Amino acid sequence: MKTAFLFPAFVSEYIGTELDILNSLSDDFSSLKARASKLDGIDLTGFSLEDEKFTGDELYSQIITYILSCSLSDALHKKGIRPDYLSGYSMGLYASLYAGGTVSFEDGLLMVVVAFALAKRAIGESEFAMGSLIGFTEDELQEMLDEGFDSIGIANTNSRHAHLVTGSRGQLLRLVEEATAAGALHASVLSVSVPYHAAELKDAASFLTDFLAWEVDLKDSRYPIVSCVDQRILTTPDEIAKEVEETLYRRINWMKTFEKLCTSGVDTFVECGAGKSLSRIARFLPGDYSIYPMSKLEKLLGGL
Amino acid sequence: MMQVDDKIKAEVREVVYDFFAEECEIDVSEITDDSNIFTDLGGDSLMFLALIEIFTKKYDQEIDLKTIGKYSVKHPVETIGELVDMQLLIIEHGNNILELDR
Repeated sequence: MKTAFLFPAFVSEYIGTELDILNSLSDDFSSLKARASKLDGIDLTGFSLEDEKFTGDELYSQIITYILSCSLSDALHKKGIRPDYLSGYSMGLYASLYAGGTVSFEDGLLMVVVAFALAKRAIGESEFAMGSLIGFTEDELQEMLDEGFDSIGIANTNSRHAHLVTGSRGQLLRLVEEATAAGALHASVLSVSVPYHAAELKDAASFLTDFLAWEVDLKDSRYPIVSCVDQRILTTPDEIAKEVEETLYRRINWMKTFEKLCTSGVDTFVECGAGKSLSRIARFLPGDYSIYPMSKLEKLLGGL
Repeated sequence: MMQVDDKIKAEVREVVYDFFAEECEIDVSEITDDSNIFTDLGGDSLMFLALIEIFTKKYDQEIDLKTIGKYSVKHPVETIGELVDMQLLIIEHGNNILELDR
């Protein structure tokens, strides 16, 4: 039996009981929230998952996701649950680096903030967005993009019929309309203004690499990390620095990442963070495995 | 075209109810035909896709998702009862479901 910890990117749907669950496991959340609040510019006073000021803000939602993921990872370690592999979904990479001991909690948090700031600077006043499309295969979607959406690219493949797209907001709004008319089961614009996994962020990614080199002491990961970009196994600082850079501007493939973990012998997945988006995506990914979002951790812990 | 009898109707209803109870982590007794999938149960579009895949496997059908998507635009589903009815139409008419509007 092998276990993988999976780290969500930024959570938009909370189950609502995350803090109760975390507090029942350990005091890691309070402790890490207090440490996060010491960083310049981060104000978590009055934090609550019901407060839109935190969960509705593009940067704060990433910060909160990071803190919750790191807290759960720490709590599980204390309960004796250790991963054989780690993988971060998109910007969930930063929490996976903390879980592997590659970065300190503070450095990981700084990476979240700096990556966001660099990405915002890179796009300037231009309007970008990301979207979710369900119902097309990759070939069908690419064909549609080739026929009139030159500034939109596939950002991620979640499963055979579910993809994220990224690019200019104007074209994305039109794509959603046309995809719906063409038979998409679902097509929507996500509430993000940064086009993650788009070439527009290549320079920002390069600056992020410089920041890592100057400011962050990357260490070997205690557990192998599966790359979301090309499914390589990463452990060394050089490999990890490259992954941090590429994750920002290159297309990722969660379906292949999950498959790689399954073929590496993983049969137990823990969604190491808030919500249960990764568990929902896993419904469409073949394999003989169990997956535990935070709301079902009791089952995992009870089985030990 | 597949014949949908009372047995299939009962199976589909049971699968849909059990699916949402499991996914939404609530007791099946809390779900009714009038339950709104999005506002009452916190469901999402991936659940539609999951159910379509479950039923196409169960009844050995080959469904073009885009056809279902086009039908859904004209007949949006919000409640569990509407979803059960749509799944039954998909099972009965398969890729000819758009013909129902002609």
